[in-house]
Amino acid sequence: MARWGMVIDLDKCFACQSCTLACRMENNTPVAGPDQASRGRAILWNEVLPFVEGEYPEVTMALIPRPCQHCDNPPCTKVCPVKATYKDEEGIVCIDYGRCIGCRFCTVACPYQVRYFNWYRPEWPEALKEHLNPDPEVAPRPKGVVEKCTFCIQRLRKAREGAEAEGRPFTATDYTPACVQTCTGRARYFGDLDDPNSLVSQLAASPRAFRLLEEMGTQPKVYYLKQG
Amino acid sequence: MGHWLMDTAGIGSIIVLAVGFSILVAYVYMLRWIQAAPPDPVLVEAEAGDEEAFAAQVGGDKA
Amino acid sequence: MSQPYRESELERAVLNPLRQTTMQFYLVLGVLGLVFLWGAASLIRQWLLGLGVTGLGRPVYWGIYLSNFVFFIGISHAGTLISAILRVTQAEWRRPITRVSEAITFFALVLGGLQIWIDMGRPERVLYPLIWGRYQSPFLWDFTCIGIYLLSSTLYLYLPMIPDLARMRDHMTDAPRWRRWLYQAMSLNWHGSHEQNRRLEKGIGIMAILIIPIAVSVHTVVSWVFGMTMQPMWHSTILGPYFVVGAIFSGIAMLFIFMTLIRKAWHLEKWIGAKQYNYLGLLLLVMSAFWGYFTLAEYLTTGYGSLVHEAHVIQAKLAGEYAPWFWAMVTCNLIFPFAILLWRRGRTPTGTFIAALCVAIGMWIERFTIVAPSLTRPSLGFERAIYAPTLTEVAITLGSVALFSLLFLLFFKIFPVVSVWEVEEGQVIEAVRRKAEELAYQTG
Repeated sequence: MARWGMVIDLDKCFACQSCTLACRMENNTPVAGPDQASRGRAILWNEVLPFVEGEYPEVTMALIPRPCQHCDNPPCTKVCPVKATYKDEEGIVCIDYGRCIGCRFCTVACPYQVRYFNWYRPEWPEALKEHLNPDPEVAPRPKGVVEKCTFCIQRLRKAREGAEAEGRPFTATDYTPACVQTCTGRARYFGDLDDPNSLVSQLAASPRAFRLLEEMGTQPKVYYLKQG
Repeated sequence: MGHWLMDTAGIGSIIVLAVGFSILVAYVYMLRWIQAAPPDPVLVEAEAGDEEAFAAQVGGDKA
Repeated sequence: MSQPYRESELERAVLNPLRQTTMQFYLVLGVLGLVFLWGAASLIRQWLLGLGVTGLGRPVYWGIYLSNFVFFIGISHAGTLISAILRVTQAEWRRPITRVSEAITFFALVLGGLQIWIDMGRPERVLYPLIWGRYQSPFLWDFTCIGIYLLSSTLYLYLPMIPDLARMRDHMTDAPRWRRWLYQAMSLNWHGSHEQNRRLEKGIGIMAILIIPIAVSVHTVVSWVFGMTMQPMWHSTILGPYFVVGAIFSGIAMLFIFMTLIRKAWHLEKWIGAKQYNYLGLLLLVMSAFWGYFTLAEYLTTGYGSLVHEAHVIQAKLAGEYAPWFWAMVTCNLIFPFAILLWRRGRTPTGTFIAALCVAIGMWIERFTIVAPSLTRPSLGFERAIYAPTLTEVAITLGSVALFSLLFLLFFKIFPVVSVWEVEEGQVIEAVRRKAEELAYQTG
């Protein structure tokens, strides 16, 4: 069984946010509009976050793309009262939209702010409606439930089906999330962290590798390679 | 085992309902126990009109 | 029926409001009803449109509804404390105020539970935790403890009411038919024999002891909803006991408010008097000191260490945008109670009522400054948020307070507000004690 993980090389990332856009098109996240976005209600499963340090004129800013960290020890699944969110056998943290009661305990438990809530019924401008991903697995979520990055788990299913149709065994390289596929600077790597020969597990062992809020013991499966 | 009890959907419901239900039953039993208390013996016998029994209880030391 | 039943002075005072309805009652009922309807309409709108009508967003996913939840569960401590602890310690002056405090407990629990439902994004899935419940979640611990507490406090409200209900069954023959039926059904064939009295006293005794640890468990697991997450200033071991102390504190304040209003409306000055206000005022003062001590312990420990994530939150509370809330809380919970209650002259009905109002407001603010500021400063510090509640949230909050008062008022339109038989029992005990003293004086 694979243990899916991601590595993001911050040296290669130039914060173009194409990952964010690719994610939106793949996963059908709604359009919040400027007013709602300013209230912290934009749903962006993958977000490029600005970390500002110091004060003018001594300011530095780091831009860090942040998908769900898919923690091995996820604080969000622990608190779910109905097991609507859980970690599957391959380490991906999923949500059952049909069961989520919208209590938002997971959203306050996640220290990475990766979990988003549907404050209203999701909406799209007419022009975008025609371009929704038809995959039923990413059908628009109803109002009142929590959603977040799934490492494009629908692509994993499709990759398995594709391999089967071609009559060959499924390999880890068959499966690529949309953000990784689209990354302009090729800064993202994806694969099986349990396979010692995979690119991700080798990069994760690099001296440049770090994880967000590592001291919290959440053991994220998203690694970053330090800038500079 | 401990993890299974904590992490399985539905087990929590069983715990909540089992605890709640057993306490409810205990409380209903308490109420019925209070309800079933016998009335004071003197009154019962006197109302029954059994004068001998009344005498035996109230005036037991008369003889 | 040899003689017509003659009501005592106490009975007349307590039972008259059950017979006659004044204009004032309808007026209060109307005002509360309007506020309740405003809240209910806002809630229906929220259900139709979504939680977007609140001021919540990322990262402040929880706001006023959760504050209300903690606040209502907190004031539910009134019944336990006054009734159970004072019963166990046999404090005689508790007798006229036990019923009021037990009723506060019951209705506060109902309203507290309601807040969680109001806060849910999918209210129609409210029973899912009873189908798919997963016990690792602190919400399930809340379900367990609040459920037990609700059952126990219902029984604890009901048990001491049985003899009074029997009395009403026997003597309130002028009541409407449905109410006579209600008293008949609820008085459980009470005939008041020696053995039945013994069993009732035993039952009340068991419940009084049992309900104390249950109440402590409730307030502790409510705090653990916050304490079990890793949010800065939530993730703290002091939170459990801090919530228990806050619950007792706000519970006494709420009892003061309701008992003073009832004393005035029911004209119970003769029974609820200086003794209750003095002793309970001292208790409120002691709890204020306890609360101050816990607050100091929490804030000093956190502030002195100044761990990165916590330092942001404590800064927001002490000097940032939450500073007005924080200092209002300290003023209401510490400065006003001490300024009023420290003096014997302050522990009057008016003085304690003002102090209690301050504490009730201060404790609500306390709940709010626990819930909101931590969420505005998440550990992954890329954004800061300001949470401002919308009119919907204000309406639902005021509507909840109105519903609480409404339920309370209607309940005491049907049931006696003072435990008549217990007060009478107290009067007998008092008379016997006086007589014994007299005899001892004469013979000695």
